[in-house]
Amino acid sequence: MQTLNPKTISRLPELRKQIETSEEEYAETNLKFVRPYCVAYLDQVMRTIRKSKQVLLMPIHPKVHQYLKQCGFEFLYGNCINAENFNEEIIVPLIRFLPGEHTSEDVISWLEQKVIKFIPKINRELRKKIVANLWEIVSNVFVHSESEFGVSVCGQLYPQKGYFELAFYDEGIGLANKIKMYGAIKEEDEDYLCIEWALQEGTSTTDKPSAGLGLHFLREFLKINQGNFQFISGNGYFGNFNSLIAEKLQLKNSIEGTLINLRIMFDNILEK
Amino acid sequence: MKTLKVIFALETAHLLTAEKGSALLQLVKSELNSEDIVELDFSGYEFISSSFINSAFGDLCLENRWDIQDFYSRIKFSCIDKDDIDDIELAIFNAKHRRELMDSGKNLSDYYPPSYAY
Repeated sequence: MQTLNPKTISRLPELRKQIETSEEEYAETNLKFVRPYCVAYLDQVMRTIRKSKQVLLMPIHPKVHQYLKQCGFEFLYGNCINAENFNEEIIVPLIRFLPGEHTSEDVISWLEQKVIKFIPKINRELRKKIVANLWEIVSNVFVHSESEFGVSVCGQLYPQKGYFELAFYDEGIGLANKIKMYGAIKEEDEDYLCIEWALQEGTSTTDKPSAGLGLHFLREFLKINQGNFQFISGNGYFGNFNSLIAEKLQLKNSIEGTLINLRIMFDNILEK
Repeated sequence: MKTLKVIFALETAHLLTAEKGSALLQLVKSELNSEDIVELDFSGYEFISSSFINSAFGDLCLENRWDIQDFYSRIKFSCIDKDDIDDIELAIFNAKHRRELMDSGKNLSDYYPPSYAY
């Protein structure tokens, strides 16, 4: 599955259904490409499905098998032969953060060791803000998502393309559902309106008097950085892929929970 | 004026969680019982998040019905980045807005989604 866009994201629930309905101990998939958002998605999906059915994933294409394996995806069927190793230096392996098990210190330590090196040279203040705002994405899952398996995160640098991608996925209640349950957006309204509303600066909390700063800040940073982001919840898609103007769409298929994908241009600087 | 060294008081340089923000709120409230002005010295902090800011300073303004002038008449900052002060001021502004909505009897859910800090 290639770059995350409305078409590819709609294929994820189809893949999930395929795994769920497999009558074998494995579910075959003919995915030819996998990106970090697929890895994070599949990790959560497999954990949920495997509560009732011990199914594994069997990618037909050796490269996909090898990539998932190197990312640390646990639910692969069989072994992979004749597949070239990917450069591990450019992969941020799959990790799952769980409320009650991981602290803010764990998340920050991971961000500093595994992620920050892929973000372009920036001043100290901006670096601090990016780390704090990435933490906030994880923190929101801890506090609000009710996700049994926390949040799965995976990333990769694409040196040839000049960007770094980092994806967060949780199979919790989902931002769109949560906002509709609260009554802020009507049940019959499009899910992307929930995302758009939650992304506005300063309009995102009830219990607390401020916020909206988490992804709002990253969004502003990505505009300057000329990167982009996608935010998917329910059947709502909100992103600014290849454009400064936000794309707001209703997807063909809904996803459970919330998926966030960030693409950061790294400007050819890779600090170790 | 009492000076509170934030990272020593909270025993962390990572000012990220709402719990730590609430802990700072309690410390500040306690100091304000006996002091006219409390200075918060942030030297050594590494990160600060909106969750922390909301729980510490947004709630302080909500509870005391403070606007930004009231806030600065009682709280001073040192050794904190300008950008982070901007975020604190946004929290104070939003607290005031929220207080006004509550006072006017409006339904807050028309204005604020659940506690997502996205």
